[in-house]
Amino acid sequence: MIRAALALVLFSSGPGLACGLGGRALAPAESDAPQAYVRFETIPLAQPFALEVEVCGGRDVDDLRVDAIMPAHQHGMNYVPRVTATGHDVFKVEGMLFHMPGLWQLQVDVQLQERVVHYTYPIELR
Amino acid sequence: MRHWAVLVAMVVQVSAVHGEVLLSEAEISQTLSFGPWPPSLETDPSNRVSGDSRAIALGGALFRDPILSVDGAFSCASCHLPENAFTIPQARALGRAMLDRNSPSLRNLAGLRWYGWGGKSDNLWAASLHPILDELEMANTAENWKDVLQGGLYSRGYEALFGPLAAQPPEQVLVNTGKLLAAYQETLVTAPTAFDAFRDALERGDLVAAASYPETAQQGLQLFLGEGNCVFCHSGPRFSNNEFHDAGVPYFLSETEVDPGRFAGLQTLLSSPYTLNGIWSDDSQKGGAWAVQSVRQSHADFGTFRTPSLRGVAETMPYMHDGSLKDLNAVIRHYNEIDLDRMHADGEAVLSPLELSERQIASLVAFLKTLSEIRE
Ligand code: HEC
Ligand code: HEC
Repeated sequence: MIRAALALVLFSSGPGLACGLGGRALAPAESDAPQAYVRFETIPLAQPFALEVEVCGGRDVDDLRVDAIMPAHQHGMNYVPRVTATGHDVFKVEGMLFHMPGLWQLQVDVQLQERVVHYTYPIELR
Repeated sequence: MRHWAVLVAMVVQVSAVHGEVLLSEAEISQTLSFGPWPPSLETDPSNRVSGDSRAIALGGALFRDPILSVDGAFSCASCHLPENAFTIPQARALGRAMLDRNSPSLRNLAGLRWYGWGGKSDNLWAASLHPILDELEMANTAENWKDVLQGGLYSRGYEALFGPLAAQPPEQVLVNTGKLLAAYQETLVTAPTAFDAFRDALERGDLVAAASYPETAQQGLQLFLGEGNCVFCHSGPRFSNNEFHDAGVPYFLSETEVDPGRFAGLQTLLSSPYTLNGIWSDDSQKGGAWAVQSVRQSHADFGTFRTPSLRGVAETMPYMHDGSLKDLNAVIRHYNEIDLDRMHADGEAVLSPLELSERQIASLVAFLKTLSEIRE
């Protein structure tokens, strides 16, 4: 009994369960997409900031692209963010800049071997 | 922050004596984002003489001296008049021909991401060396300027900061001169105003002091934050997001020519050796270089201009990149009646005719005036 519980703990502490810790879940465009999370602190207005994206499920992510738009104003960011892998399926995204207050939509494209999965996340900036 | 805001709401009811604080809790928290002022002075790591008092003095002297022009025709101060808030009272600056744009006031420039109406520079020393070379402005060359400097009264001051002139290539002398001029301009900062006294009082929770800020200005501020949508672009302590927008100002220079604004600014920037990403930056960390490295070029840049700061704005008429609006009243009327068919860049969806009343126009103007020092 004890041994079984221990085995379960060991099993589940692999890359799967701790994934996305402290992050907010990104909304995938398709239901069978792996879960992905974004982590960020208070976002400053019109100043550069960074965030972190983690893709769960132990898949090998080939490439990850991040962008953002303001749906109400028909425009995006004036900068192309730089993405670097900092761990297995963990990515640091730098050079984000929201130059206007209001609703932004974060857009994340994850390239898996067989397909690209799209995610979004709404961010309201005051 | 919540606590005193609630307090404001309560006390406002009873403070009938001196006038009132009209702002809501949300408006107060937005108002706090316009300060504190002045910002703490940080030296520019890309400019080794930034903050150096000898460089500031030498830069100030060069700024006023037509010696920088190939033929002594202009000094920097000819187009940025120190007694006129470092701008000109005319619509467009007169160089060797009429320039396309109004001279911006040179105050509060330290630490911006972009310089010039079209953002052709990402640092202040580059923005300061462009006019030395520009054919329509000082029309000088690096070679000629080095010769003149070497033989003249500024050579000792220069060498004390940068070492022997003879050993330096002309381009280095030019860049260093830009850095001296930048060190001087960094010291041009507008003083706190009636608006800052109001904002700081709100931050302290001192409603008695805050209530002495005129009610018309408060109403103008409410429009600025609300209905007017101004804060979408004029945000932060400088009242500018330092990015590029089409504010509906016509961009035709003549029947056939236009001012491409940010579009041309980016072309100049991306081919310039004088960026924070280039060899002339003194910052080994290349701080700030991310912007020029990752700025996005887009057809929507065409006809957009940098959002100007509104600090000290009452002293810098006429307004807009081409100086086409003569006073603040005209600016508010422009936004009030903005002609969406005339918009050249696609989609500044926050701009639409405001349909403000005469009283509302007057209160917006009253608010903008409190961003300048009141001179008795
Ligand atoms: C003939 C008139 C003229 C002269 C001379 C001149 N300027 Fe300017 N200056 C302008 C105009 C017009 C602009 C706007 C240019 C643009 O948007 O690209 C400007 C822009 C600037 C800017 C950018 C300001 C901002 O808000 O981004 C700086 C800095 C500046 N000038 C410094 C100088 C210095 C330093 C000198 C002397 C070396 C000088 N200028 C000489 C007309 C002039
Ligand atoms: C979409 C962004 C945006 C919005 C919204 C906006 N502005 Fe502007 N503002 C600009 C830009 C860009 C310029 C310069 C335009 C040009 O020169 O072509 C400008 C210029 C100005 C100027 C002239 C400053 C100078 O030194 O020439 C004033 C004053 C001003 N705006 C006030 C306001 C007020 C008040 C509101 C709200 C009613 C407002 N702005 C809304 C972007 C904006």
